[in-house]
Amino acid sequence: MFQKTTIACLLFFSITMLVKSQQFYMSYDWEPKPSYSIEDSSKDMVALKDKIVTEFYFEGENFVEYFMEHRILWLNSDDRIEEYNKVYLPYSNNSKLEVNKARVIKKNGEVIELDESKILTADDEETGKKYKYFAFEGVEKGSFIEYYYVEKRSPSYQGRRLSFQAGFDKMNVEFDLFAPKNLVFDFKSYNSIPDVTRDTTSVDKLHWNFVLKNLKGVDKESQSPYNASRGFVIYKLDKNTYNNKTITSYSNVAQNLYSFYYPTYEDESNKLIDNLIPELKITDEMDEEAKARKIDFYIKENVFLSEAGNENLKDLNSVITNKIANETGLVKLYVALFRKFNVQHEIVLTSDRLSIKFDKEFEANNFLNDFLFYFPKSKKYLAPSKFETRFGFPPPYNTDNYGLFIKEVKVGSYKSGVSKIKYINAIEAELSTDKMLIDVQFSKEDFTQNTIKLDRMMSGYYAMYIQPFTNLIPPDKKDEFLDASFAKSLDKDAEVTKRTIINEEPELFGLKPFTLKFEITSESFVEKAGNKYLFKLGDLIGPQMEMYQEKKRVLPLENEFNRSYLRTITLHIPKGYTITNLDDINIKNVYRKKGKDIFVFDSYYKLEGNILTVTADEHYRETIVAPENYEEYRKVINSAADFNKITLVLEKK
Amino acid sequence: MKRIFFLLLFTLCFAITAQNSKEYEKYKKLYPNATFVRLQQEIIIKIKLKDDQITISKEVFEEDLYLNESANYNSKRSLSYNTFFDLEKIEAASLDYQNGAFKELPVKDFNKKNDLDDSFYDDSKTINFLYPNLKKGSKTQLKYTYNIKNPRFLSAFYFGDFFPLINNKITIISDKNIALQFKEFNLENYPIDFQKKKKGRNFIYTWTSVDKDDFDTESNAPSYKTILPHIVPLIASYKGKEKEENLLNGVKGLYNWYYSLVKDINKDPNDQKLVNLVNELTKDKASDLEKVKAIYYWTQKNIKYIAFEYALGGFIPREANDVFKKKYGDCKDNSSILYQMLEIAGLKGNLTWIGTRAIPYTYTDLPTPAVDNHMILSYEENGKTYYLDATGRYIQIDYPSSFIQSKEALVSYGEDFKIKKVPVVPANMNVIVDSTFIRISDKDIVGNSTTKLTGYIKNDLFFELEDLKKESDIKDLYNRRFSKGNNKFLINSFQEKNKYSYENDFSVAYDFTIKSYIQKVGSEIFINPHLNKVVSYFKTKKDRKHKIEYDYKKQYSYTNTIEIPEGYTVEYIPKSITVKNDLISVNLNYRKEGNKIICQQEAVLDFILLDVEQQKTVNDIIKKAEKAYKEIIIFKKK
Repeated sequence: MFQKTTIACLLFFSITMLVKSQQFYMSYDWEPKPSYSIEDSSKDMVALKDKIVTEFYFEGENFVEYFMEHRILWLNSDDRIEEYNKVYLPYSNNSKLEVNKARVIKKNGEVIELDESKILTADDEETGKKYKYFAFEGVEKGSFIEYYYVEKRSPSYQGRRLSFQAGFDKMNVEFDLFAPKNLVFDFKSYNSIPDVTRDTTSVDKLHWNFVLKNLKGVDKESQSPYNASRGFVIYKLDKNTYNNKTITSYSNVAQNLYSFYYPTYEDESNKLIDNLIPELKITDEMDEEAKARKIDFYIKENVFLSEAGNENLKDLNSVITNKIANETGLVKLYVALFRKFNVQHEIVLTSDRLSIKFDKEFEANNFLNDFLFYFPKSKKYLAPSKFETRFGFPPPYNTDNYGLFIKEVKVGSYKSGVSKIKYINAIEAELSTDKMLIDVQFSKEDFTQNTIKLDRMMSGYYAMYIQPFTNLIPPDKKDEFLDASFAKSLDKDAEVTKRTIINEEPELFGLKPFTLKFEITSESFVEKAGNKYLFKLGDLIGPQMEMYQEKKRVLPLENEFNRSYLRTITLHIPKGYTITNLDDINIKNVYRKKGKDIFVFDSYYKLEGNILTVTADEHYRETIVAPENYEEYRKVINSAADFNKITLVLEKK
Repeated sequence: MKRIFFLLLFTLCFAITAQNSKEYEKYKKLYPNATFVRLQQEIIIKIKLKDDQITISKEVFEEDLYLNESANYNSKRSLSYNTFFDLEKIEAASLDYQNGAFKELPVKDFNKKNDLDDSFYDDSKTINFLYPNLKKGSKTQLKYTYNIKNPRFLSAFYFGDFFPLINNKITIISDKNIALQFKEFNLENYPIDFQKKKKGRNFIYTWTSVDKDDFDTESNAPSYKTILPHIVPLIASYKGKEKEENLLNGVKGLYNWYYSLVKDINKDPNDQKLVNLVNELTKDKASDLEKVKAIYYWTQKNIKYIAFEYALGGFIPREANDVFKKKYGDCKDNSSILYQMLEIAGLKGNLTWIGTRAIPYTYTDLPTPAVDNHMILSYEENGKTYYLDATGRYIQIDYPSSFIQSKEALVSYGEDFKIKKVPVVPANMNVIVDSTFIRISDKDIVGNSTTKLTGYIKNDLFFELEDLKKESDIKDLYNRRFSKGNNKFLINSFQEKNKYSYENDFSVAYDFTIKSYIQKVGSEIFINPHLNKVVSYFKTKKDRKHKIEYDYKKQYSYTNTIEIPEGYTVEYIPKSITVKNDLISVNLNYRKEGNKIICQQEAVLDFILLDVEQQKTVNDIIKKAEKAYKEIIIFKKK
């Protein structure tokens, strides 16, 4: 993603100043005669050891990293054996496995060491990934598997996360980092991992570490940001004390990115960009937001995104000519067009909040995973490489999170990029709505038959997964697809007698709601009980999730996006009949914070003559639910499930 | 004014013709629903015979025309190859329509990749590439050549596909001393042209077809091989220098080759530890079948599935001693160790080749390696054959694995073989028996149940349970699997019996509540006693075009005993009803016993495959059952 500044010139100062010392791994080995035991045998697995050591090292003028992982896992169920009996080692074109040992220690103490020849290799030229992998031989229930490897590779030091906590308990969790004496690293520990501290006794190299005798496993909970909640450490190379230079900093990132993505274009590029203009259909009258929409729409309709790393996929000229690009190439194309049409924008780099929260207090490149563009005039975002998203609605898990915003500054003729950490607000609930207007008539001949008019209007994230793609649905499949997705969720046996699609043009996404109008006949809503009729009002809004909670919630719950459901049901009560349990309709549950309604379910009715109008509205105005608010949230969610159970009783007057 | 109008019209027409090629206009009109059409598909297979050596090459040329905005979604292509199908040459290009002509944009980067999706380690690789600048109206051309390294692996060619196929031509140029056979599938009422000519020392076979519509598929339809018209060529034999050499000459030819690959395995002395294990497993067992069970269940539990399928390693089982040491293997390795363990116990198993239900052919239909994809071990006793598949887990001895039901098995008896048919497990061996007691408490239901599961239903639940580590997750699963009434069904506590047992029925006893299930109005209480509308799930779409497949036959029995609330009498109970045909039956029975009403539902789903007609008859029964599911019990205050 970034241009690597030449490592050696930045870090390497003078070879004479460095005292040569042996790499740590030279003197490291596993137990020659292992005798391992686990006291508590009720668990299905335990890690007896989880040790990571990494060493940054100068070999002549080469700056390299030796990365070691040593694990001993006790596997006590078939499932866990199947999960862990295969190991895939990280590996790449410019890395080398210095050590790779694996063995199984059976319950009876028998040790089976894996022969080096059993280690397999796999290649993927497209992504440049390589794998070294193997399967443990002879694993039985209650066996220990043990492996350690040392990988020599080009160093990764501008922010790297190591996760230590998993779903099972671990013992002897250790981390060590060694570095040449001039290279000072900085560390931050998250979620129950102790601080990494400097070992001042180390003389010829710098050494930091932490040791943890026991680390409890953390359970997965539904909709929880599991990876972000596990215990992990981030390290980065902070300073080179020989020249007192800060190595990892966002201001470096901003400058590097700016010079990479905002070059002065060659004539050829300018010509190619100009050739694109007629295809974009941008007019002078359009404001910047409209232009950005057009650019986003054009690129996502016409360019193919590849994960491959080939040079031509990153090259702006080639991307314009061939319409195939990887993320780097795409960002270049967006920037080129924004510049061409003078659309003010900033590059934003952020993380997926389920995987890791962007930490505004600790500058490290491992938070800079996903690209967004921010448009300061409209205060909206777009995600260049997420083809399922469109302008104004970035990937929801990138929002409600901090991000690094990089904008162009001009001082005289000098231009550069400056960065600032800002919060990326989640899109408001009012912009992502699913609205239903339902009109129900009873057949005069047979009250168990209903004719229903259903208008469904979806906006924001609710429309994003369909509206921009309606032109891709084969015409002969369209009706069936729309019926199944939006009408038959009420009743899978319903007959759709008529359907109208409004605002189906992909370019209307974000501007007008995607609207479907159905006319339906159904026999599923009424049950006959003697001379009374039971009308299943709640079924009209489709099945609603019921949330259970067995244990006290530990991790937060994170929704994808804020949202509102608005439903109005008009019921034409047959003449001569009355409904005896209208009060069942009234359900209200609200969670308020600082005087504001955050989570709301509110259903009520109005009766005028034989017309019953039922309103059931639901709002979720915060995405992240802290464990202490979980019960309140659950109550609101389950109110919809309660509404779904409402059955009205129709009796003769 | 008029002039301007004409001028406008003229430029407009010009713009249209300039934007789209004639081909595009033609095929967009003919196939408005297609994403693309294949304009050309030409395959040339050359089979040469020299010095008793057969060499085969297969050249393929494809030209596609894209008809809508999703064209660029087709930019990425990949071709797979392996030791037997060596990819020799590949060329690809996009054709971009500009100013009235197609301009060729060749693909430059081809990236190889080891394909790790299918097995842990194998020789399958893919070559991946991107077509540049694909848009509506673009074409792509692809040309490649395979060298087929084993004369048994000639693959099928298709005359119809999931896209329209405009011009299709297949040519086989084969030495006259090679005896070819062509096995036809789904070609009834599907006209294609065929010609055979002699030229020099070769025969030339040519098939052509034009303008074939695209085929459609639907969820849970059987394999595309049962739908698409295709021909599989095979080399039955050839005239060698000395004599006629048989290759795939009938099932015997295929078997002889398979046998040559397995006859030399397990010749080393048995690992003493393996012998000790077998002795230990079988020492107290009274009968042979008991011994087989002990060995079979041990392998299911202890030999994990990891597949190595490199070249002929995909066909030759590994040594039992080796599998025992590693504690893992693929289907052949599992069969090998099972075979050897039975032998140690003085019992005889037979290696057995079989195709899973994904492959529709019989051995006589298609005696080539394309007919099967799996190996198991057969064991016979008192005229009954047991099909042992040690790659599975929890499979009871008298059940084959579900995905080989109804399939032909090729069973090895040394140099001889037999073809047997694996039975379909009857519905009454895959059963849910649920017995539930219900009390009405205001608008809620309070109840307790025992649910018993057998056969494949039990196995499926065990597989789900295996992944769950926490009690709360298990309860969550039971809340979903044993759900009754509505999604407010909530289990309070549960007790399991025979969990993970191979032989015994698994049962779970639990108490539960269902909130807001009851309707109370004035002096009446309404309750729908059908807490499990089980057959609804089997209703298929009425305009479905294809057959539908299910994993297994099954039977459900639900008994709901409802306590009559104190102070109430029974105002109405529905009439008992039975609806059935040969494929499905549903019986709903209601009776009053003392202060209880007993509602029973017995449902039998006696099919694993339904054709379109059968789906209709099944739907008819289900509709009647669903009508009965709407019937309600009414209690009235005394």
